[in-house]
Amino acid sequence: MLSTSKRAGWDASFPAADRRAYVVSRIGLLVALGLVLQIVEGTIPPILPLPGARLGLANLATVIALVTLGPWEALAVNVLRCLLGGLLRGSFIGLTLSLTAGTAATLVMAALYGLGPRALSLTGVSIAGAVTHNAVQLAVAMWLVGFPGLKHYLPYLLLVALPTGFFIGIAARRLTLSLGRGIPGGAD
Amino acid sequence: MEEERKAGAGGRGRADRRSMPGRWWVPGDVVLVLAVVALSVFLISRGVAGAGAGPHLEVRVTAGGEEVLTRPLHEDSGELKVTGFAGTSYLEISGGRVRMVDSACPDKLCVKSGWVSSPGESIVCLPNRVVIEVVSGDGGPDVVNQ
Repeated sequence: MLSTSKRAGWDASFPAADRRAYVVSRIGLLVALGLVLQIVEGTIPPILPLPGARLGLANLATVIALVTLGPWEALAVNVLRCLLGGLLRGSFIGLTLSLTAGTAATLVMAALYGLGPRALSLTGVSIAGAVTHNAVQLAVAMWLVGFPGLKHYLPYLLLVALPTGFFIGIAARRLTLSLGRGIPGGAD
Repeated sequence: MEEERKAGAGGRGRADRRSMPGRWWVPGDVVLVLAVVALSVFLISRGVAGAGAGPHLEVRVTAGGEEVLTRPLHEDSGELKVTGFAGTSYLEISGGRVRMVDSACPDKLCVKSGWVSSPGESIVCLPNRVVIEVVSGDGGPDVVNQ
């Protein structure tokens, strides 16, 4: 119990029914974190003159959910964050893009993360997520705008996803190490 | 080891398959990055080798409001003839640009317009009712608003 209070995480000695409340509250916290990060990122001027080439800070919440809670919880965090974030920005196209691309990226990350730490590290999982996100986002944008010429943009968006995915992966690893997985005994 | 034992004893379901974020990189990551770089380089080189990295441009010619001719901008055409309201107009596509060589009009304003090459640009010969436009062949917008 000592380690539980230190880490504020889940303890197997708690009643099983509390696990549900724990997961729901954790999802809520991570959705809030993602929304704040999304707004923070919106205040940073773009470094590259490419639309769609963003750091994807909000994805940090999804990756943390994937590691500390599980794949379905990560999907829940992502979908809720996209819906609420879309309402905050008030852009329907932005909502469609982030929801489709974010969901695809989360599914890919969950599948790759499930392969185990020897196949891909969290850095690699995050890079794969960023690449998926950018590719799907461009595909949906092409469909929405009805302009196939956008496809020439794909390789540049893929390359941009490498450093952004790398950064998010490193940051998520540091954060999950510090936060703990929510298990007794902690992370490190 | 102790960490794994505790995680296993926690009975945490799906998320237990993996204990902790693990190392910050493994060889698999490098393979993934190289694959993405290779794919991007391949896509870029293919785009450059094709008809330019940008959108495919076309020259569209209308006479009296009716479309009479559409040609790709990147192919040299030699001299093209278009019959208009007052006579014949001669135009030429060369080196990714298009110009009016001569037209059945008194002022030759269309000839003086010179070469045009950007999407949205046009040459108009009003007396002969001939319009030459450079358009995006993909049928898409010339500008994408965010």
